[in-house]
Amino acid sequence: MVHSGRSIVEWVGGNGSVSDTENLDSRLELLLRLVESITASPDLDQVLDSVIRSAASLVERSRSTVWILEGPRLVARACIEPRRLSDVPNRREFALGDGLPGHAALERRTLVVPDVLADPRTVSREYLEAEGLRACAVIPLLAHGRLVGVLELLTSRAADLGSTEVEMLTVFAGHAAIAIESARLYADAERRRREAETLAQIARDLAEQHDVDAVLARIASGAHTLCDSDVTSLALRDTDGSFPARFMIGARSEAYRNFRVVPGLGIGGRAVLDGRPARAAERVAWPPMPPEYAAAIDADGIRSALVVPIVVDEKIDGLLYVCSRSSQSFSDADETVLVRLADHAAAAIRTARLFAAEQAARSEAQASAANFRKLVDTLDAIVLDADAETFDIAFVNQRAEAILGYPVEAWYADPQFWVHHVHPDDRDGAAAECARAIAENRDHVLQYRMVAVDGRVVWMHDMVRVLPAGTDGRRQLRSVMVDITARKQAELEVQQQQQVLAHLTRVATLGELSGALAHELSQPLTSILTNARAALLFLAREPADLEEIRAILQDIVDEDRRATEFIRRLRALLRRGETPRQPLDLSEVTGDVLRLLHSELVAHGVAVTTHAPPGLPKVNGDPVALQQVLLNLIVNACDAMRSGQSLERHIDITIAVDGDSAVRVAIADRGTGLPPNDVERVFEPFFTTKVHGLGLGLVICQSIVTAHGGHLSAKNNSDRGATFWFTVPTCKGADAPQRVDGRGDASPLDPI
Amino acid sequence: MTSGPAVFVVDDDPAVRIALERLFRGAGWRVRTFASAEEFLQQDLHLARGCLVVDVHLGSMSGLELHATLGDRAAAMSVILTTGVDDVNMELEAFKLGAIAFFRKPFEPNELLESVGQCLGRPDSR
Repeated sequence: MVHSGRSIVEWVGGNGSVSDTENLDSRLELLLRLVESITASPDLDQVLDSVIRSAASLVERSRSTVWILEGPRLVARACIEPRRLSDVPNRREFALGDGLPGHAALERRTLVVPDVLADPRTVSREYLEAEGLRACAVIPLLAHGRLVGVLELLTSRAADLGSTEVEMLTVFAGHAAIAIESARLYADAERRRREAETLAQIARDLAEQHDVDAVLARIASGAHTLCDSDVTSLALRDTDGSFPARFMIGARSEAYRNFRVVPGLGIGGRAVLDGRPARAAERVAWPPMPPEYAAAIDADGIRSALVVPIVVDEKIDGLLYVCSRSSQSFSDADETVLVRLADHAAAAIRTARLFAAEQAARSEAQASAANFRKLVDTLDAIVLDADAETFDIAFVNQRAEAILGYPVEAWYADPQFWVHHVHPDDRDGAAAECARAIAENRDHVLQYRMVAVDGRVVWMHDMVRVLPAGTDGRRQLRSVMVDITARKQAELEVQQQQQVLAHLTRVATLGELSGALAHELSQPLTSILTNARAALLFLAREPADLEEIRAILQDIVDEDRRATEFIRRLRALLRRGETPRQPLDLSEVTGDVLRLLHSELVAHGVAVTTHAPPGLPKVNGDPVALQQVLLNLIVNACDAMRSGQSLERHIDITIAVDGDSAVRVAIADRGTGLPPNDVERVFEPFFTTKVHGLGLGLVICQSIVTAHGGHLSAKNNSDRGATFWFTVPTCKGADAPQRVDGRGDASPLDPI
Repeated sequence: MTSGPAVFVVDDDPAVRIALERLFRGAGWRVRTFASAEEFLQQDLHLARGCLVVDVHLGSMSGLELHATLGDRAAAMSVILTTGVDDVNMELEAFKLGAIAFFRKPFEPNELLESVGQCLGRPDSR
């Protein structure tokens, strides 16, 4: 149905009164041919082209424009301008109600203006004047009552737009409107189909392609096609905040290819600031911009543009930019599809970033693994990763070969490699301690010997970490074994020297005490000899007193034992070398020493009181070494009371628990005390207050106590004399005895 | 008990003390033993006739001090000192105080018996 215009048949019938039937026939024929031509193709551009040509052919020497309604605007979509006289541009856009086309569109009726310059509704006077155009006819294009646009014809003479021409144009316009509407519908459907196809392709790329550049390139080309753009670019934010084009299609000039959008400048700059799409048709309608900016745009002949921001995580990270070299405005449909493409671009960028972050993390992990490997191989230690339960070796560093001589393959081949190559004397101890620590899930440090491939014995300081169970639920051991053979040998030498020194001072001390020691032996000998003589006397009696003789013999046996025991103790003290550590009761050790010193104490009139609560915990110690400490300290105490005019010759020995893991022995005398400023110096070598002292006794004592893990100190008593005390750690639980020389069991140390 | 001469033994070592008691008893002397000088002095025996066999090294009061304490009061008492320690000065001191003999442990018991016999004559109980 045609409302405003009339159909050809209607028009012919309604104008039966037209005299020139021949003329009418030819016009009718022309009109029919024109209508046929405009419906020949479904392509909008061809339809528009056809419409404009046909309209121009209906009115001689006319300029014809098809203005299409887009939203509230009329946009010039097709135009025939024969014989241009000037280069004054015509308007390409009108708002509804603006200018003659705008009025005709708004009023939905044909306007015929014989003198446009005289008409107040005329807008583009400069153009009309320059081109010598005077008359104008604007016919609304109405399809099914809907305004599609307007058809405008301009002529230099009003006579060219007579009523017949206008009527013919009106009829033609009715058909043209339907043809345009149909072509638009077709184009719309076609466009939707292409959009759907392109978007589907991009979505597939997004899912399958990890190469963000490929996806973005496809988005740019999709925008180019779907928006029918002349120049399309996809720009990404640079570190300086500007947006250089990353993908560009259709640009001709170098200036435009190197173009960077700066926030706030131009259409792109506005889109960056507003965070919304920006659009401009006429070049003159573009926002203000610096000259070099405009130059780049004009260098490429760009006249209209549509920009959509690419928003990634609420931040504008890019722009999708379509431009046209015509002044034809991009449509709402273009904007809609461009927004969707920009969303896809944002998704691609976000995915790429996540992927890049993951890649970076992965390569960082690889780099640090490589560094670790390098470090591990340059470390002068064996580094070993093994399963905490099976001891299966997951990793051993190359350095292990240099240290023990076995190829690393040998380590991997035998899950029991480590335990098989621990020195037989240390094997059980080390394995047991290791197993205990693993069971308790604690890091531990072991020292033990290993046997190298050439039979060398290598001392290892092994720091073992128990790593938490991984995803497979299995705990790993990381062991770092350092070769401490040289250190151990040095330690052994020092220990041997200390033992020699300790022995020498022991001998020296006992030498000083020889008189008292002789007395101690002379007592039982006297008793034995006297008893024997007495027995002979009783035996000589008639009758012999057998009861008496039996008692005598028993005493002889006891006294002999007493002498033997004393000699045993003395011999123990005089022995060289070390004695195995064993659980010791320090009150017993003190008692032994006091028995040895009995005569010496009596000779100096020194009384000794010992305070020891019952049930003291045992300490782990070398009995001879600890006797030597007590011997030294007690003899020192006696000496301190010899020189002075001490009326009170008394030594107080107190044995008590110290803290929760040590026993303390304190020896307090009533002697001259220590030189007030030299209390600490008494432990220095060769410091002595004695005329004949060597000054090594306390040094040796201190080294013995320290080797036991204890501490030796001294202080002056508040009233008189001095107190020396030392501590020795108790045996912890059921732990196996340790040896100071380390030549026995592996010695568990505290975790590092 | 007869009031004849007796041997008084002062020694802090019980084993030695008992052995000496047996020796002198076996030889027929009356014997009394004391563990310390103080114990002996408490008995007020210093006027008694006899022989005092005393160890030099006793707890708080030494044998020499005991000897010195007895001094003139022990005119009837011969003093024999024993010692487990070699000390010439001590021996000289003992002789200055009037000790008749000085024995270093371990000594030959027969020699001690002889010295006691020289002081007290032959034992009564023989």
